[in-house]
Amino acid sequence: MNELTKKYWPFVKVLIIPYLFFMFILFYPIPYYLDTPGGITEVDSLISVDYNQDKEVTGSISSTYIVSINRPTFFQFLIGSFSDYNYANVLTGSYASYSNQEISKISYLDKETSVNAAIIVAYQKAQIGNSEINIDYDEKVMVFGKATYLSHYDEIDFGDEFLYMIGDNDFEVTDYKAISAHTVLDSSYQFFFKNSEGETYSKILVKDPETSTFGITLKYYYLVDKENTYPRYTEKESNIGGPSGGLLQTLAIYNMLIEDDITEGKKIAGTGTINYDGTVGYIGGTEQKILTAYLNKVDVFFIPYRDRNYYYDNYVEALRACEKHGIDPSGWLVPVSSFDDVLDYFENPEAYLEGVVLS
Amino acid sequence: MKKYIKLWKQLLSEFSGKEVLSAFYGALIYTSLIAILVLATISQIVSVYLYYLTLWIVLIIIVMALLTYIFHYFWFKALIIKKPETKTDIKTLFLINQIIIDTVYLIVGLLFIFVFVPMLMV
Repeated sequence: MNELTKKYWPFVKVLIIPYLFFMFILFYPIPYYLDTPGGITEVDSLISVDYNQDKEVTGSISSTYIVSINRPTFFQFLIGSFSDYNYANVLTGSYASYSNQEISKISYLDKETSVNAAIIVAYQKAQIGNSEINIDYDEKVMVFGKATYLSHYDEIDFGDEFLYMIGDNDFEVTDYKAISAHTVLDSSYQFFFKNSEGETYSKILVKDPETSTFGITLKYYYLVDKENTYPRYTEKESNIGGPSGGLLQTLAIYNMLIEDDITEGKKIAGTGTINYDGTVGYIGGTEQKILTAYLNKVDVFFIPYRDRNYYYDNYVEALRACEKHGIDPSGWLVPVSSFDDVLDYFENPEAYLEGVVLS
Repeated sequence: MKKYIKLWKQLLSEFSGKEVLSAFYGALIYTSLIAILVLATISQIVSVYLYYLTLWIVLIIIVMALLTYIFHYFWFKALIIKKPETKTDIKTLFLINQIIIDTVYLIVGLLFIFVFVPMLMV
Protein backbone atom coordinates (compact mmCIF):
# COMPACT_ATOMS: atom_id res chain seq x y z
CA MET A 1 0.00 0.00 0.00
CA ASN A 2 2.63 2.56 1.11
CA GLU A 3 4.93 1.62 -1.79
CA LEU A 4 2.20 2.37 -4.30
CA THR A 5 1.35 5.66 -2.62
CA LYS A 6 5.01 6.73 -2.69
CA LYS A 7 5.32 5.77 -6.36
CA TYR A 8 2.07 7.34 -7.59
CA TRP A 9 1.74 10.32 -5.22
CA PRO A 10 2.83 12.90 -7.87
CA PHE A 11 0.08 11.62 -10.22
CA VAL A 12 -2.49 11.60 -7.43
CA LYS A 13 -1.65 15.23 -6.53
CA VAL A 14 -2.10 16.38 -10.12
CA LEU A 15 -5.31 14.39 -10.71
CA ILE A 16 -7.16 14.98 -7.44
CA ILE A 17 -8.86 18.27 -8.49
CA PRO A 18 -10.01 17.03 -11.95
CA TYR A 19 -11.12 13.79 -10.25
CA LEU A 20 -13.29 15.60 -7.70
CA PHE A 21 -14.65 17.91 -10.41
CA PHE A 22 -15.64 14.94 -12.57
CA MET A 23 -17.24 13.24 -9.57
CA PHE A 24 -19.33 16.38 -8.99
CA ILE A 25 -20.47 16.33 -12.64
CA LEU A 26 -21.32 12.65 -12.27
CA PHE A 27 -23.40 12.88 -9.12
CA TYR A 28 -24.92 16.37 -8.89
CA PRO A 29 -28.59 16.28 -10.04
CA ILE A 30 -30.21 19.14 -11.95
CA PRO A 31 -33.96 20.02 -12.01
CA TYR A 32 -34.63 18.72 -15.52
CA TYR A 33 -36.05 15.56 -17.03
CA LEU A 34 -34.58 13.63 -19.91
CA ASP A 35 -36.59 11.35 -22.21
CA THR A 36 -34.68 8.84 -24.34
CA PRO A 37 -35.78 5.88 -26.49
CA GLY A 38 -36.17 2.62 -24.58
CA GLY A 39 -37.42 -0.67 -25.94
CA ILE A 40 -40.44 -2.85 -26.50
CA THR A 41 -41.59 -5.54 -24.14
CA GLU A 42 -43.92 -8.41 -24.99
CA VAL A 43 -47.10 -8.16 -22.94
CA ASP A 44 -47.29 -11.93 -22.37
CA SER A 45 -44.16 -11.65 -20.22
CA LEU A 46 -46.19 -9.38 -17.89
CA ILE A 47 -49.65 -10.95 -17.97
CA SER A 48 -50.75 -14.46 -18.81
CA VAL A 49 -54.32 -15.75 -18.97
CA ASP A 50 -55.15 -19.39 -18.22
CA TYR A 51 -57.23 -19.84 -21.34
CA ASN A 52 -56.80 -21.12 -24.91
CA GLN A 53 -53.49 -22.64 -23.85
CA ASP A 54 -53.22 -24.70 -27.05
CA LYS A 55 -53.58 -21.68 -29.30
CA GLU A 56 -50.48 -20.87 -31.32
CA VAL A 57 -49.65 -17.17 -31.42
CA THR A 58 -47.43 -16.58 -34.46
CA GLY A 59 -46.60 -12.90 -33.91
CA SER A 60 -46.03 -10.72 -30.87
CA ILE A 61 -47.80 -7.87 -29.10
CA SER A 62 -45.53 -5.48 -27.23
CA SER A 63 -45.90 -2.28 -25.29
CA THR A 64 -43.28 0.43 -25.77
CA TYR A 65 -41.31 2.03 -22.99
CA ILE A 66 -39.01 5.01 -23.00
CA VAL A 67 -36.39 5.93 -20.45
CA SER A 68 -37.42 8.97 -18.47
CA ILE A 69 -34.72 10.31 -16.18
CA ASN A 70 -35.98 12.75 -13.57
CA ARG A 71 -33.31 15.10 -12.24
CA PRO A 72 -30.45 13.75 -14.36
CA THR A 73 -26.89 14.51 -13.32
CA PHE A 74 -24.86 17.13 -15.22
CA PHE A 75 -23.10 14.30 -17.03
CA GLN A 76 -26.32 12.55 -18.09
CA PHE A 77 -27.72 15.87 -19.29
CA LEU A 78 -24.52 16.56 -21.25
CA ILE A 79 -24.28 13.19 -22.98
CA GLY A 80 -28.03 13.22 -23.59
CA SER A 81 -27.65 16.37 -25.67
CA PHE A 82 -25.36 14.56 -28.14
CA SER A 83 -28.26 12.69 -29.72
CA ASP A 84 -31.27 14.02 -31.63
CA TYR A 85 -33.21 11.07 -30.27
CA ASN A 86 -33.25 12.50 -26.73
CA TYR A 87 -35.41 15.26 -25.30
CA ALA A 88 -34.65 17.33 -22.21
CA ASN A 89 -36.72 19.96 -20.46
CA VAL A 90 -37.19 21.62 -17.09
CA LEU A 91 -39.24 19.71 -14.49
CA THR A 92 -42.48 21.61 -14.00
CA GLY A 93 -45.78 21.33 -12.14
CA SER A 94 -46.24 19.00 -9.20
CA TYR A 95 -43.43 16.74 -10.47
CA ALA A 96 -40.92 19.48 -9.65
CA SER A 97 -41.77 19.15 -5.95
CA TYR A 98 -41.79 15.34 -5.87
CA SER A 99 -38.71 13.30 -5.06
CA ASN A 100 -37.54 10.70 -7.58
CA GLN A 101 -38.90 7.95 -5.29
CA GLU A 102 -42.33 9.63 -5.25
CA ILE A 103 -42.32 9.95 -9.04
CA SER A 104 -41.46 6.23 -9.29
CA LYS A 105 -44.32 5.38 -6.95
CA ILE A 106 -46.80 7.43 -9.00
CA SER A 107 -45.50 5.75 -12.14
CA TYR A 108 -45.98 2.30 -10.54
CA LEU A 109 -49.55 3.20 -9.47
CA ASP A 110 -50.24 4.43 -13.00
CA LYS A 111 -49.10 1.07 -14.36
CA GLU A 112 -51.17 -0.89 -11.84
CA THR A 113 -54.38 0.99 -12.62
CA SER A 114 -53.59 0.71 -16.33
CA VAL A 115 -53.20 -3.08 -16.14
CA ASN A 116 -56.53 -3.35 -14.28
CA ALA A 117 -58.21 -1.14 -16.90
CA ALA A 118 -56.68 -3.26 -19.70
CA ILE A 119 -58.00 -6.46 -18.12
CA ILE A 120 -61.49 -5.01 -17.66
CA VAL A 121 -61.74 -3.66 -21.23
CA ALA A 122 -60.29 -6.83 -22.83
CA TYR A 123 -62.51 -9.19 -20.82
CA GLN A 124 -65.62 -7.10 -21.51
CA LYS A 125 -64.85 -7.10 -25.23
CA ALA A 126 -64.15 -10.83 -25.35
CA GLN A 127 -67.28 -11.49 -23.26
CA ILE A 128 -69.42 -10.31 -26.19
CA GLY A 129 -68.57 -13.42 -28.21
CA ASN A 130 -68.07 -15.82 -25.32
CA SER A 131 -70.43 -15.95 -22.34
CA GLU A 132 -68.00 -18.18 -20.45
CA ILE A 133 -65.79 -15.16 -19.83
CA ASN A 134 -66.65 -13.14 -16.74
CA ILE A 135 -65.18 -10.02 -15.18
CA ASP A 136 -65.96 -8.35 -11.88
CA TYR A 137 -64.33 -5.33 -10.28
CA ASP A 138 -64.62 -2.87 -7.41
CA GLU A 139 -64.52 0.88 -7.64
CA LYS A 140 -62.05 2.59 -5.33
CA VAL A 141 -60.55 6.04 -4.79
CA MET A 142 -56.85 6.47 -4.14
CA VAL A 143 -54.41 9.21 -3.21
CA PHE A 144 -52.70 10.12 -6.45
CA GLY A 145 -51.15 13.51 -5.75
CA LYS A 146 -49.93 15.54 -2.81
CA ALA A 147 -49.17 19.27 -2.65
CA THR A 148 -46.31 20.47 -0.48
CA TYR A 149 -48.80 22.14 1.89
CA LEU A 150 -50.78 18.94 2.55
CA SER A 151 -51.08 18.28 6.30
CA HIS A 152 -49.47 14.98 7.41
CA TYR A 153 -47.64 14.82 4.06
CA ASP A 154 -45.34 11.98 5.14
CA GLU A 155 -48.06 9.93 6.82
CA ILE A 156 -50.45 9.87 3.85
CA ASP A 157 -48.91 7.74 1.12
CA PHE A 158 -49.50 7.64 -2.63
CA GLY A 159 -51.87 4.77 -3.41
CA ASP A 160 -53.63 4.86 -0.01
CA GLU A 161 -57.36 4.35 -0.40
CA PHE A 162 -59.69 7.23 0.45
CA LEU A 163 -62.64 5.87 2.43
CA TYR A 164 -64.64 8.91 3.54
CA MET A 165 -64.40 12.24 5.32
CA ILE A 166 -66.53 14.07 7.86
CA GLY A 167 -67.82 17.22 6.21
CA ASP A 168 -69.92 20.15 7.42
CA ASN A 169 -72.67 19.28 9.91
CA ASP A 170 -71.00 15.85 10.43
CA PHE A 171 -72.04 14.70 6.97
CA GLU A 172 -70.10 11.62 5.88
CA VAL A 173 -68.74 12.24 2.38
CA THR A 174 -67.79 9.11 0.43
CA ASP A 175 -67.81 10.60 -3.08
CA TYR A 176 -64.56 12.55 -3.34
CA LYS A 177 -66.06 14.87 -5.96
CA ALA A 178 -68.48 16.13 -3.29
CA ILE A 179 -65.74 17.06 -0.82
CA SER A 180 -65.50 20.74 -1.80
CA ALA A 181 -69.28 21.18 -1.53
CA HIS A 182 -69.25 19.82 2.04
CA THR A 183 -66.19 21.62 3.37
CA VAL A 184 -67.32 25.23 3.32
CA LEU A 185 -67.84 26.13 7.00
CA ASP A 186 -64.51 25.15 8.52
CA SER A 187 -60.82 25.04 7.63
CA SER A 188 -59.96 21.56 8.94
CA TYR A 189 -61.73 18.24 8.49
CA GLN A 190 -61.22 14.60 9.37
CA PHE A 191 -60.35 12.24 6.49
CA PHE A 192 -60.27 8.43 6.64
CA PHE A 193 -57.87 6.33 4.56
CA LYS A 194 -56.73 2.73 4.22
CA ASN A 195 -53.03 2.06 3.68
CA SER A 196 -51.42 -0.67 1.54
CA GLU A 197 -51.36 -3.01 4.55
CA GLY A 198 -55.15 -2.73 4.91
CA GLU A 199 -55.05 -0.59 8.08
CA THR A 200 -57.57 2.21 8.39
CA TYR A 201 -56.34 5.56 9.71
CA SER A 202 -57.68 9.08 9.98
CA LYS A 203 -56.01 12.47 9.66
CA ILE A 204 -57.16 16.02 10.22
CA LEU A 205 -56.44 17.90 7.00
CA VAL A 206 -56.22 21.68 7.05
CA LYS A 207 -57.10 23.84 4.07
CA ASP A 208 -54.32 25.95 2.60
CA PRO A 209 -55.28 29.62 3.19
CA GLU A 210 -54.05 30.69 -0.25
CA THR A 211 -55.66 28.03 -2.43
CA SER A 212 -58.49 26.96 -0.10
CA THR A 213 -57.70 23.33 -0.90
CA PHE A 214 -56.44 20.44 1.20
CA GLY A 215 -53.58 19.69 -1.21
CA ILE A 216 -54.56 16.12 -1.94
CA THR A 217 -55.41 14.68 -5.36
CA LEU A 218 -57.80 11.73 -5.39
CA LYS A 219 -58.57 9.51 -8.36
CA TYR A 220 -61.10 6.79 -9.17
CA TYR A 221 -59.83 3.41 -10.25
CA TYR A 222 -61.26 -0.05 -10.76
CA LEU A 223 -59.66 -3.03 -9.09
CA VAL A 224 -60.38 -6.43 -10.66
CA ASP A 225 -62.03 -8.89 -8.30
CA LYS A 226 -59.93 -11.95 -9.13
CA GLU A 227 -62.21 -14.35 -7.24
CA ASN A 228 -65.16 -13.56 -9.48
CA THR A 229 -63.25 -13.31 -12.74
CA TYR A 230 -62.97 -16.11 -15.28
CA PRO A 231 -60.58 -17.15 -16.77
CA ARG A 232 -57.90 -16.57 -14.15
CA TYR A 233 -54.90 -14.48 -15.05
CA THR A 234 -51.43 -14.00 -13.58
CA GLU A 235 -49.66 -10.69 -13.41
CA LYS A 236 -45.89 -10.77 -13.01
CA GLU A 237 -43.59 -8.26 -11.35
CA SER A 238 -42.47 -5.46 -13.62
CA ASN A 239 -39.77 -2.79 -13.59
CA ILE A 240 -41.53 -0.58 -16.08
CA GLY A 241 -44.01 1.98 -14.82
CA GLY A 242 -46.53 4.35 -16.36
CA PRO A 243 -49.94 3.91 -17.97
CA SER A 244 -48.96 4.13 -21.64
CA GLY A 245 -48.88 0.35 -22.15
CA GLY A 246 -52.64 0.13 -21.50
CA LEU A 247 -53.82 -0.15 -25.11
CA LEU A 248 -51.35 -2.88 -26.06
CA GLN A 249 -51.98 -4.74 -22.80
CA THR A 250 -55.68 -4.70 -23.68
CA LEU A 251 -54.96 -6.05 -27.15
CA ALA A 252 -52.66 -8.81 -25.88
CA ILE A 253 -55.13 -9.93 -23.19
CA TYR A 254 -57.95 -9.86 -25.74
CA ASN A 255 -55.85 -12.00 -28.07
CA MET A 256 -55.35 -14.51 -25.23
CA LEU A 257 -59.12 -14.73 -24.71
CA ILE A 258 -60.32 -15.20 -28.29
CA GLU A 259 -59.90 -18.32 -30.43
CA ASP A 260 -58.23 -16.66 -33.44
CA ASP A 261 -54.75 -15.19 -33.47
CA ILE A 262 -55.01 -11.57 -34.56
CA THR A 263 -51.24 -11.08 -34.78
CA GLU A 264 -50.93 -13.22 -37.96
CA GLY A 265 -47.16 -13.41 -37.53
CA LYS A 266 -46.68 -9.65 -37.21
CA LYS A 267 -44.55 -7.80 -34.69
CA ILE A 268 -47.17 -5.49 -33.19
CA ALA A 269 -46.33 -2.66 -30.84
CA GLY A 270 -47.82 0.66 -29.86
CA THR A 271 -48.58 3.09 -27.11
CA GLY A 272 -51.59 4.77 -25.49
CA THR A 273 -53.46 4.62 -22.23
CA ILE A 274 -56.75 2.74 -22.09
CA ASN A 275 -59.83 4.22 -20.44
CA TYR A 276 -62.59 2.11 -18.90
CA ASP A 277 -64.92 2.92 -21.80
CA GLY A 278 -62.37 1.58 -24.30
CA THR A 279 -61.17 4.95 -25.55
CA VAL A 280 -57.45 5.55 -25.95
CA GLY A 281 -55.76 8.36 -24.05
CA TYR A 282 -52.91 10.77 -24.75
CA ILE A 283 -49.36 9.80 -23.82
CA GLY A 284 -46.07 11.67 -23.41
CA GLY A 285 -42.71 11.03 -25.08
CA THR A 286 -44.21 10.38 -28.54
CA GLU A 287 -40.99 11.13 -30.43
CA GLN A 288 -38.93 8.72 -28.31
CA LYS A 289 -41.61 6.02 -28.66
CA ILE A 290 -41.68 6.36 -32.45
CA LEU A 291 -37.88 6.09 -32.49
CA THR A 292 -38.06 3.04 -30.22
CA ALA A 293 -40.53 1.40 -32.61
CA TYR A 294 -38.35 2.30 -35.58
CA LEU A 295 -35.19 0.94 -33.91
CA ASN A 296 -37.04 -2.29 -33.07
CA LYS A 297 -38.38 -2.70 -36.63
CA VAL A 298 -42.02 -3.29 -35.70
CA ASP A 299 -44.60 -4.16 -38.39
CA VAL A 300 -47.49 -2.23 -36.83
CA PHE A 301 -47.43 0.61 -34.33
CA PHE A 302 -50.64 1.94 -32.76
CA ILE A 303 -50.69 5.56 -31.66
CA PRO A 304 -53.48 7.60 -30.00
CA TYR A 305 -55.38 9.83 -32.39
CA ARG A 306 -58.13 12.30 -31.67
CA ASP A 307 -58.03 15.15 -34.12
CA ARG A 308 -55.35 16.02 -36.64
CA ASN A 309 -56.01 19.73 -36.05
CA TYR A 310 -55.24 19.39 -32.38
CA TYR A 311 -51.62 20.39 -31.79
CA TYR A 312 -50.97 17.94 -28.96
CA ASP A 313 -52.45 14.96 -30.75
CA ASN A 314 -50.08 12.01 -30.50
CA TYR A 315 -50.57 11.04 -34.15
CA VAL A 316 -49.69 14.55 -35.29
CA GLU A 317 -46.64 14.50 -33.02
CA ALA A 318 -45.69 11.07 -34.41
CA LEU A 319 -45.91 12.29 -38.01
CA ARG A 320 -43.78 15.30 -37.06
CA ALA A 321 -41.20 12.97 -35.42
CA CYS A 322 -41.12 10.76 -38.53
CA GLU A 323 -40.52 13.80 -40.72
CA LYS A 324 -37.77 15.08 -38.40
CA HIS A 325 -35.87 11.77 -38.42
CA GLY A 326 -36.56 10.82 -42.06
CA ILE A 327 -38.78 7.84 -41.20
CA ASP A 328 -41.53 6.78 -43.63
CA PRO A 329 -44.71 6.32 -41.51
CA SER A 330 -46.83 4.72 -44.22
CA GLY A 331 -48.14 1.24 -43.64
CA TRP A 332 -46.99 0.72 -40.06
CA LEU A 333 -48.07 3.80 -38.09
CA VAL A 334 -51.73 3.28 -37.21
CA PRO A 335 -53.73 6.04 -35.46
CA VAL A 336 -56.49 4.80 -33.16
CA SER A 337 -58.90 6.56 -30.82
CA SER A 338 -60.46 3.49 -29.22
CA PHE A 339 -59.92 -0.23 -28.76
CA ASP A 340 -62.67 -0.77 -31.37
CA ASP A 341 -60.46 1.09 -33.87
CA VAL A 342 -57.69 -1.44 -33.21
CA LEU A 343 -60.07 -4.32 -33.92
CA ASP A 344 -61.37 -2.51 -37.03
CA TYR A 345 -57.79 -2.23 -38.25
CA PHE A 346 -57.27 -6.00 -37.95
CA GLU A 347 -60.53 -6.62 -39.85
CA ASN A 348 -59.21 -4.80 -42.90
CA PRO A 349 -55.90 -2.92 -42.48
CA GLU A 350 -55.88 -1.29 -45.92
CA ALA A 351 -59.43 0.01 -45.66
CA TYR A 352 -58.78 1.30 -42.15
CA LEU A 353 -55.68 3.25 -43.15
CA GLU A 354 -57.41 4.66 -46.23
CA GLY A 355 -60.20 5.86 -43.94
CA VAL A 356 -57.69 7.72 -41.79
CA VAL A 357 -56.23 9.49 -44.84
CA LEU A 358 -59.71 10.56 -46.00
CA SER A 359 -60.92 11.82 -42.60
CA MET B 1 -3.81 -25.62 -12.95
CA LYS B 2 -0.77 -27.37 -11.45
CA LYS B 3 1.44 -24.54 -12.69
CA TYR B 4 -0.91 -21.98 -11.19
CA ILE B 5 -0.84 -23.63 -7.75
CA LYS B 6 2.93 -24.04 -7.99
CA LEU B 7 3.36 -20.33 -8.77
CA TRP B 8 1.19 -19.36 -5.80
CA LYS B 9 3.23 -21.61 -3.49
CA GLN B 10 6.44 -20.07 -4.83
CA LEU B 11 5.11 -16.54 -4.34
CA LEU B 12 4.05 -17.30 -0.77
CA SER B 13 7.45 -18.81 -0.02
CA GLU B 14 9.16 -15.60 -1.14
CA PHE B 15 6.68 -13.12 0.34
CA SER B 16 4.97 -13.30 3.67
CA GLY B 17 1.15 -13.43 3.70
CA LYS B 18 1.14 -9.94 5.21
CA GLU B 19 3.23 -8.56 2.33
CA VAL B 20 1.00 -10.13 -0.34
CA LEU B 21 -2.12 -8.83 1.42
CA SER B 22 -0.67 -5.33 1.87
CA ALA B 23 0.12 -5.20 -1.87
CA PHE B 24 -3.37 -6.59 -2.60
CA TYR B 25 -5.14 -3.90 -0.51
CA GLY B 26 -3.03 -1.14 -2.08
CA ALA B 27 -3.93 -2.35 -5.56
CA LEU B 28 -7.59 -2.68 -4.55
CA ILE B 29 -7.79 0.88 -3.22
CA TYR B 30 -6.09 2.45 -6.25
CA THR B 31 -8.14 0.37 -8.69
CA SER B 32 -11.33 1.28 -6.80
CA LEU B 33 -10.59 4.98 -7.27
CA ILE B 34 -10.44 4.41 -11.03
CA ALA B 35 -13.32 1.91 -11.06
CA ILE B 36 -15.78 4.23 -9.23
CA LEU B 37 -15.22 6.93 -11.83
CA VAL B 38 -15.29 4.61 -14.85
CA LEU B 39 -18.29 2.54 -13.74
CA ALA B 40 -20.32 5.61 -12.69
CA THR B 41 -19.61 7.12 -16.11
CA ILE B 42 -20.63 3.96 -17.95
CA SER B 43 -23.77 3.44 -15.85
CA GLN B 44 -24.89 6.98 -16.71
CA ILE B 45 -24.16 6.49 -20.41
CA VAL B 46 -26.15 3.23 -20.27
CA SER B 47 -29.09 4.98 -18.57
CA VAL B 48 -29.27 7.62 -21.30
CA TYR B 49 -28.63 5.31 -24.26
CA LEU B 50 -30.44 2.22 -22.95
CA TYR B 51 -31.50 1.23 -26.48
CA TYR B 52 -27.90 0.16 -27.16
CA LEU B 53 -27.95 -2.03 -24.03
CA THR B 54 -26.36 -5.10 -25.61
CA LEU B 55 -23.49 -2.98 -26.90
CA TRP B 56 -22.99 -1.47 -23.43
CA ILE B 57 -22.91 -4.90 -21.80
CA VAL B 58 -20.14 -5.90 -24.21
CA LEU B 59 -18.35 -2.64 -23.35
CA ILE B 60 -18.80 -3.27 -19.61
CA ILE B 61 -17.24 -6.75 -20.01
CA ILE B 62 -14.24 -5.14 -21.76
CA VAL B 63 -13.98 -2.39 -19.10
CA MET B 64 -14.15 -4.95 -16.29
CA ALA B 65 -11.36 -6.89 -17.98
CA LEU B 66 -9.29 -3.69 -18.19
CA LEU B 67 -9.95 -2.90 -14.52
CA THR B 68 -8.84 -6.42 -13.66
CA TYR B 69 -5.67 -5.79 -15.64
CA ILE B 70 -5.08 -2.46 -13.82
CA PHE B 71 -5.67 -4.13 -10.46
CA HIS B 72 -3.14 -6.88 -11.23
CA TYR B 73 -0.69 -4.31 -12.59
CA PHE B 74 -0.83 -2.37 -9.30
CA TRP B 75 -0.56 -5.60 -7.30
CA PHE B 76 2.45 -6.66 -9.38
CA LYS B 77 4.12 -3.22 -8.98
CA ALA B 78 3.58 -3.24 -5.22
CA LEU B 79 5.13 -6.71 -4.91
CA ILE B 80 8.09 -5.81 -7.15
CA ILE B 81 8.78 -2.64 -5.15
CA LYS B 82 8.77 -4.73 -1.98
CA LYS B 83 11.18 -7.34 -3.37
CA PRO B 84 12.79 -6.42 -6.70
CA GLU B 85 14.95 -9.57 -6.57
CA THR B 86 11.96 -11.96 -6.56
CA LYS B 87 12.34 -15.07 -8.74
CA THR B 88 8.62 -15.96 -8.93
CA ASP B 89 7.07 -15.49 -12.36
CA ILE B 90 4.40 -13.12 -10.98
CA LYS B 91 3.40 -11.96 -14.48
CA THR B 92 2.39 -15.48 -15.51
CA LEU B 93 0.66 -16.06 -12.19
CA PHE B 94 -1.39 -12.89 -12.52
CA LEU B 95 -2.10 -13.59 -16.19
CA ILE B 96 -3.73 -16.90 -15.22
CA ASN B 97 -5.60 -15.05 -12.45
CA GLN B 98 -6.90 -12.53 -14.97
CA ILE B 99 -8.00 -15.20 -17.44
CA ILE B 100 -10.03 -16.91 -14.69
CA ILE B 101 -11.65 -13.63 -13.54
CA ASP B 102 -12.31 -12.44 -17.13
CA THR B 103 -13.98 -15.76 -17.95
CA VAL B 104 -16.35 -15.20 -15.02
CA TYR B 105 -17.11 -11.66 -16.31
CA LEU B 106 -17.78 -13.06 -19.77
CA ILE B 107 -20.18 -15.69 -18.45
CA VAL B 108 -22.02 -13.15 -16.25
CA GLY B 109 -22.19 -10.70 -19.19
CA LEU B 110 -23.64 -13.31 -21.52
CA LEU B 111 -26.13 -14.31 -18.82
CA PHE B 112 -27.21 -10.65 -18.64
CA ILE B 113 -27.58 -10.39 -22.42
CA PHE B 114 -29.54 -13.60 -22.90
CA VAL B 115 -31.30 -14.19 -19.56
CA PHE B 116 -31.45 -11.30 -17.10
CA VAL B 117 -32.08 -8.36 -19.45
CA PRO B 118 -35.06 -10.02 -21.20
CA MET B 119 -36.37 -10.95 -17.73
CA LEU B 120 -35.87 -7.51 -16.19
CA MET B 121 -37.21 -5.44 -19.09
CA VAL B 122 -40.82 -6.41 -18.50
